[in-house]
Amino acid sequence: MEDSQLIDRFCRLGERDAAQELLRRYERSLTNYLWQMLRHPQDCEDAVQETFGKVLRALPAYREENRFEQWLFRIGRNQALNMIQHRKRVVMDPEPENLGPQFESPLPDAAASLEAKERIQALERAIAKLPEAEREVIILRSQADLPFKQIAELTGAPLGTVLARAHKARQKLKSLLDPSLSKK
Amino acid sequence: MKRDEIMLYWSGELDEGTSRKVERMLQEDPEARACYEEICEFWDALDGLPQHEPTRPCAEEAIARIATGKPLRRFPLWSAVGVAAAVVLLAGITYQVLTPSRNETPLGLTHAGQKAVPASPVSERRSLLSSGSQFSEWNRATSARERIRHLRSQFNTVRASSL
Repeated sequence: MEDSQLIDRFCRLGERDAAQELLRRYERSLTNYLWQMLRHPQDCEDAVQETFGKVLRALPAYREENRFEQWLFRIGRNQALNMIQHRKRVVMDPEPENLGPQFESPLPDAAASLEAKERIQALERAIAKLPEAEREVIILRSQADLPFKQIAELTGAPLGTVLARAHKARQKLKSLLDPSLSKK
Repeated sequence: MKRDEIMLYWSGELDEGTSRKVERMLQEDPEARACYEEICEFWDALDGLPQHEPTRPCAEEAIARIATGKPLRRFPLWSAVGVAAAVVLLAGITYQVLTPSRNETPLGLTHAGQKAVPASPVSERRSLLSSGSQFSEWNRATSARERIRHLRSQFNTVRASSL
């Protein structure tokens, strides 16, 4: 079922199941995006919950000009930026063991070796060191799976700027992680 | 730009015609091919990043919060209109109270037929600095408290003369 149909069913008929299905479609990608933005488990979950609450309240006024996913991520992005600004808490470099058992990532079997784990941790640390604008492009493309054109609309930057940020981020990560990336 | 087109090609965001053009370029240009391979390698490496799942059912909780009595629109439209009207009214009253009468001039000078009222020393000093538009300078420079004091003394003088 299309997003717009679910929205219609929730707003017109008050079907909670429709809203649940709609939000759950994007729950994982939004969580991953907000996690990379906030780098804190509690903040991340709070941001997801707040974003969903705002989306549900605003759904009756939602119009079909933009895609729902992009709209959702825009609200989530604003929420994350507000939290960063207000709480002044940007955890740049959390080790996976500090994240609690719930946030230990299920690594694929092939990458379960210590070397692979270290490589991924190094990659996460390197991404956290990127400037915010570049980090955001990388996260939105890789974690939230948004196309570059949607990222441009979401962040309000021209497409060329978004692609340039992706390129710069790639160059920086390459220089930081050349051994890890080349081993891949 | 070649690099951007290759990135968009990798991302699957090009139309059919441009995609064919990039495919031809990748076949013919080793530099473009190397760029494409590098892009693939980079984004493949990012695919290995851990996926995070929320520990609590955020979607369900948000829906439950909305369902338990909280209206979808937090503030009705009429309340916003009321607040806006109150703000405008308050601003108007404040302006009326704090803005001096048009008959007043800086330095306590008055129009013909009226008694002069001594200006406060501060406003006098400030107004002396201005050579051009004294009215606007006086309005800008004097504080609200000075204006009120000035108006009060003017009122007392006029009342005393009328008695």
